[in-house]
Amino acid sequence: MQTCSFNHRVLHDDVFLIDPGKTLDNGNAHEMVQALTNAQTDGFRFVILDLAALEFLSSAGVGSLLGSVDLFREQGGDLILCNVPAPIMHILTVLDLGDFFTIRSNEHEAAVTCGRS
Amino acid sequence: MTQPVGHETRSLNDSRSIIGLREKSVLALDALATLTSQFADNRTLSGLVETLVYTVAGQFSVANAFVAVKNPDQRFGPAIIFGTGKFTGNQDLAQLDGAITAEAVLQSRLWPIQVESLHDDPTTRPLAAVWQAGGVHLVAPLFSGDNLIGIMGLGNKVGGRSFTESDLDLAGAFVKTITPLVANAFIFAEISYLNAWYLDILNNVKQAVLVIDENGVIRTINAVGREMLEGISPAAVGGVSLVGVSIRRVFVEDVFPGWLKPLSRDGAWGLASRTENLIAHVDGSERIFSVTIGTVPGSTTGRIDTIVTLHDVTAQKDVEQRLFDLERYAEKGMVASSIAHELNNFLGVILGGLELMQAYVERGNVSILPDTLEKLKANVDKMTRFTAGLMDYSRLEAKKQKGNLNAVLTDVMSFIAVQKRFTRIDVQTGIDPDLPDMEMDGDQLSQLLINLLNNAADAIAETGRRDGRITIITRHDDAQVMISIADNGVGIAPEVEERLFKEHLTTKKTGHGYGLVTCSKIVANHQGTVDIESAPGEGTAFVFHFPRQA
Repeated sequence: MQTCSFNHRVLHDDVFLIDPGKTLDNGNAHEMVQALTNAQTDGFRFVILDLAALEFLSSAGVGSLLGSVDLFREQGGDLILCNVPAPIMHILTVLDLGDFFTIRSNEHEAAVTCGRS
Repeated sequence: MTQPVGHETRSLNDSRSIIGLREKSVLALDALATLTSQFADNRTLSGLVETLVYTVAGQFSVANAFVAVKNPDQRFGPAIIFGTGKFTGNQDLAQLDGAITAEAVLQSRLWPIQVESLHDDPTTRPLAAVWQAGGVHLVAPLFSGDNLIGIMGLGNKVGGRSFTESDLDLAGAFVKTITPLVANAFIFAEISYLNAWYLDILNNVKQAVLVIDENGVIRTINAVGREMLEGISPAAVGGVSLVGVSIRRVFVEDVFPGWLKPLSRDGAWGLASRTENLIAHVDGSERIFSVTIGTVPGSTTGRIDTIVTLHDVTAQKDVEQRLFDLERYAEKGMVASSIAHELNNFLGVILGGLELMQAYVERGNVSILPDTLEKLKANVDKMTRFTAGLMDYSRLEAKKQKGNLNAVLTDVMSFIAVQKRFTRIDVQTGIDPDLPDMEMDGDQLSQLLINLLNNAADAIAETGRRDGRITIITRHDDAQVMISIADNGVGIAPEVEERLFKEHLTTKKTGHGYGLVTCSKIVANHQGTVDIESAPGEGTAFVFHFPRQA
């Protein structure tokens, strides 16, 4: 498995969980893109982003996620957000992305969406 | 500057939409502020372009976006292109060559531009076809002034939504704001590249190179210069950079005696460069540096800098000295052989005369003895004159006293004025009226000048020219007295020039090569140095430097 600079776990054979920490912005957007690309290359169809600790999400941070979503979905998988704090959810809503991302309230529900529980 | 392309237009009466629009604008402002801040911290063009793509994608809710920034030439390689989503690695979308061809058309359009509208113009049609096939919905050219420096392309908004008029307004403002950032990053990259390029060139020069500003502060020094000064100059220890350090701290007097004056601008001779040998005292021994000092007029910087190259010629001088010593020993052998030959001739005559006298005495024929004795005495006189001439030739010790080189030159000029070989040559002198006295052996310096003037006349005669000219100039500075002798004779080939003064070398049919060796001894007797500049067919210039206090 390729390296991932964020905290991460393998939940199942094809489900990978990433915790981006407190910030996702210009400073680590390229690392997020790399992490998602590596997960796909390693055969994970689903990636769950646990945003529980996320305090700041910039436009670049959002952009780093958008490019991967279709690629996961074309493989029958998805990029799922869970534990989304209210301020982060507000940003996604402002950008009209509230219904684009698959968003679940917690890790368990996200895993269920992936067909795992 | 925008045009509506969306099918969904928000109602201004929809207060939720207005609040959303304001918040989106705030997000955009925040994104732009972050980009600006990032550029201030890290001015790499590729890093800026990458972040720009993510920011644009997030700000306009597109999964696929690219930014391509052109290079004005191939020094940086191909254009810097970055894409996200399906545009990742799709170089076809960033056809900057095509965009540059259509630059005038793109300039005339409102930004951002709907790709399908570019089909109207034959100049942009091929480009539009590639973009449309790749799923590019909007493009925004990045114009810095009238120059196209890049292209930003966006795919459709996620979820199948269309771009709204407010999206386009925001995109237009976004592009206008980021373009100067990209242009600045590009300029910074170009400056960094040129700086690195010049440093590479400087660092690959085999000689030390320093650039000194008008205040005597080192502005640039190459790797050889740092290595050369490391451990010699008290300011160059521990690998510290000497950039920004005053030459007064670097070329301290006890290590580099007399260096500051020629290196500082007030010691420069106008804009012409000059070369001289300067001595440094290193660990109790002397090292000789060939120092070339010139000026950088600074038409771009608005200041006049001094450029200095240093070449450690100590080893070369040692070799030259050893060669000279060897030549001197060889010369002694050759001279001894000649002397033996000449003396044998005289002795043979004298021996023959003595034998003749012995025969006369045995035969009682003494009346003829006085004539024979006269002949023997004449031969002894010849021997005396011969040995006296030898002593003149081989006299190495200078008998120095305070004198003026101008006076020597004046004497020599009166001597050569009556000689036939100079009658067709225009001999010009430039006398320094303030030339100071120096410690000298006037006879030896006369011999030096006569020898070189004879050589110059011969060199001019070889050309057969009628406009032969010899120019003799004296000048001085704080430390030395100089005299230059330049002619427009046949000149000296470079390979010969290198060996001049070191060997009994002559290019004359009747020359013996002792002349310049003698000159070399005279110069050495005065602790002087000589620089030679010569071009075959154009002439030769000798410049002699003598210390005022030898």
